[in-house]
Amino acid sequence: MASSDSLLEVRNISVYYGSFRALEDVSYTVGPGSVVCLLGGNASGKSSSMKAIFGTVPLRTGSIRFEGQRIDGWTTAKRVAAGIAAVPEGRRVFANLSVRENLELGACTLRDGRAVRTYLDAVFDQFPQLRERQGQMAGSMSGGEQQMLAFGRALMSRPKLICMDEPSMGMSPALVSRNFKLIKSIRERGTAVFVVEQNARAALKIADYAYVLRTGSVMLRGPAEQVATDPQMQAAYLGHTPLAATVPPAAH
Amino acid sequence: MIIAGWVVMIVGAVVVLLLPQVSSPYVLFVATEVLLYVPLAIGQNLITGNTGVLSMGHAALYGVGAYTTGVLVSHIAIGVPLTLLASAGAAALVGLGVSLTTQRIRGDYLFIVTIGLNFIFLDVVNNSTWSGAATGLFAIAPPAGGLLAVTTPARFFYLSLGVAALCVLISLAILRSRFGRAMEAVRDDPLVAATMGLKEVPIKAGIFGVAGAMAGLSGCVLAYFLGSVGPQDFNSNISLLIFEMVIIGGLGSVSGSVLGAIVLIAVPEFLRSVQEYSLGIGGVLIVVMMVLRPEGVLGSWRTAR
Amino acid sequence: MITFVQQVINGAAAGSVYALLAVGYNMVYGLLGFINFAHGDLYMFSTFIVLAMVTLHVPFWGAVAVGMVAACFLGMSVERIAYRPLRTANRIAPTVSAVGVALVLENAAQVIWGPATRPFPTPLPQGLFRVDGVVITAMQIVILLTAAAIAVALRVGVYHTSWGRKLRAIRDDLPTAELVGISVNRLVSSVYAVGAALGLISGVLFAAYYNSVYVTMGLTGTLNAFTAAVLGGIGSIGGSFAGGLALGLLQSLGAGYISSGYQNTITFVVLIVVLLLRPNGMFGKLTAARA
Repeated sequence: MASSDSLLEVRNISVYYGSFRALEDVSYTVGPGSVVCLLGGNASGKSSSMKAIFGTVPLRTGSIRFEGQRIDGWTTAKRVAAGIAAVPEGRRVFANLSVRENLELGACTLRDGRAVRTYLDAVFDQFPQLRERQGQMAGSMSGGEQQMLAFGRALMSRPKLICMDEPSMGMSPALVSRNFKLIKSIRERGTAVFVVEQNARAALKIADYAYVLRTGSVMLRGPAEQVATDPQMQAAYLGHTPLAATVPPAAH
Repeated sequence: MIIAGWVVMIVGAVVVLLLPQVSSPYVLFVATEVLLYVPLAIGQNLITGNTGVLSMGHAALYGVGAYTTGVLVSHIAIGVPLTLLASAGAAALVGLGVSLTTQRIRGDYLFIVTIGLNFIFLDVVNNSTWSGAATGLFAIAPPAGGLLAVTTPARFFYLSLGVAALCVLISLAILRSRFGRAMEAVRDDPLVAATMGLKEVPIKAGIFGVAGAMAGLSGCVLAYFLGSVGPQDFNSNISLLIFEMVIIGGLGSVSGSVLGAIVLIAVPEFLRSVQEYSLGIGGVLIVVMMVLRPEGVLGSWRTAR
Repeated sequence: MITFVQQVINGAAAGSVYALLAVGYNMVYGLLGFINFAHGDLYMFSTFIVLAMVTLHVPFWGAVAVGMVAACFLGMSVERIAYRPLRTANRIAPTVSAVGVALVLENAAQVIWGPATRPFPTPLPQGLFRVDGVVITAMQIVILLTAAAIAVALRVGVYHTSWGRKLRAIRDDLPTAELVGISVNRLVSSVYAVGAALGLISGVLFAAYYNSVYVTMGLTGTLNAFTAAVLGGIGSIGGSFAGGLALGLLQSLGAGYISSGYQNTITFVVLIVVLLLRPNGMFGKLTAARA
């Protein structure tokens, strides 16, 4: 993928927490309208990759470009305003705010009030349950509904790229498949999706391209079908051995 | 290196011991003032630096000591050794009581509550007849010819030096004992300390008692030194000053307490031009130290997270 | 009975002043879980600025405006310099840093304006009314009305504006608020500005009510605001008003029925008892999650 037509381009980044190395010389790209997944177990550097995109952790080396512009010196708010949205891990909605307020906050980087109302209607059309419950406190909804709200909130800024942190974590199989269908539909509208996942099997089914992280470095990369059939991957992640057993214990 | 260290210490000790012979009365006065603050800073540091309790009402303990001496002297003929003991005992009891009543209050709230105790102390002495209300107590003097009869500036200096040295030694002994390690275990992680069988409540109360006794000793000497005690000598600014000493000198370090007392008392005295600004300069130092090295200054204060 | 009603009125007026001070304090606490120990000194300092302007023959409302701008500027600068670098540090670090700030402000005020208590001339109405033997001063009415108006304005600001929505989002979940694109630093800054501005209003009302301004009103302000916050529920904006009024009433009834010399003792005994019974304040709830 040539760098000129990539949407997000992460080059040789390293992230350290004190002397602990979370990421070392990691690069990945997301093309416009594509679905890219980043796989790996605990402590593989997945969540640090996510944090690096949003600038909530400092880079020791490397650069991040979005639509060709260097963004690694930008504040999180500026990156969001440029068109990157997050669906954070563990469906983090604002529990003591109403559903509607949660969605409105998703568009807090937009200045045009009328556009916000249009986008709100569009999200409500896509998720009719959210419209019904717009006055309810977000914290009082079920887990699946909260996940839906987190999706909706990310869509409110009409981003060019949505980054999702472990969308299948703690979800029932039915919800997982619903979430991945949703990712497909988002992609069909031309929005690129970057998914960080532990559930490799589900993620590889919808992704175009995949990167596999292990202890802070890219172990494997390639088109999703290729990664899915890679012998290393088969043995480590997709075999009958449960994932947790193959990953070194988390070093928190 | 070790020999050089000993030489420095011995020279220092000789200079300090000979100070009354060689210095002007003013220098001696300032040196005595510094020495009066050493037990206060050491006690504050045991509480805050070594045990990790944010307390900011130390002037109240100091005041309890001073008023105990003031009241005793104005009612009965009593010698210095007994007033020292009585003041230390009274302030230790108050310290113990403060610690036991406030154990359940969370760290950063305790900060405010202990300043409050300082205010309560002031209310009490300002409104009682035994304490001379707002004017305080006067003519506090030791009986002539008794043991430790402090009557000359040089004798005041030696008495303060003796009290300060005693507190330094007690503090060093505590920190090297099992109790000292228990204090630091409680500071670093109360839960882990509990699993080791260390009881937070008596440890904290014990250290407040010790720090109270030290403050009481200082208060007693102060009462004789000034010849009077009044509410203004123990207001919240004195508490803030003592707190400042241990932050600037270094939390958890005995020499740091001594250093803090010297820096905040002697330096402003001798540099008259900055005296007016000393509290504020100390404040700037605190902010700078916190911002640059919060973990360095506060050491391993994981408890407070 | 007349004494009782009189004390209640006096207490409500004093309590409203505490409430306005406690609001700024509680907003910061709710947002960052941090006790701004310098809040009272900021209020003292900016009230002195108003007095200095009045002394320079600046018209009263102009002086208040200058004081307000100065208060906002000071509040934001203090946050930027002394607190923001410590936001992710151990919670004790900003508290100690705030003590440093308090000392600087107190010392500066002492050097510039001296330790004496100064009278505070104002054009605010000074008359009084008698109703069945109970005296109500015009100033008390001004204070109660101002506090009520600010309570309503805050309610609207927090629950019905985009600023308030962001504020509540940060209070709920700061990391997620950042990910959504809220400029957390800018919002925190604005909260310090609002807190300082309310502090200034509180300071001007206090100075006008008691016709005095003095350096140590800073520390007592901090302590009263904290106690009001604990009484009303620490971190809760509405609670600041309830707590401020409760504290004002307790102090005034205590002064009327026990002794006027023990005002601080009453405050702190109440504070200690409440903290022992309810470690998170009278109506405190959510704060446990932040501890």
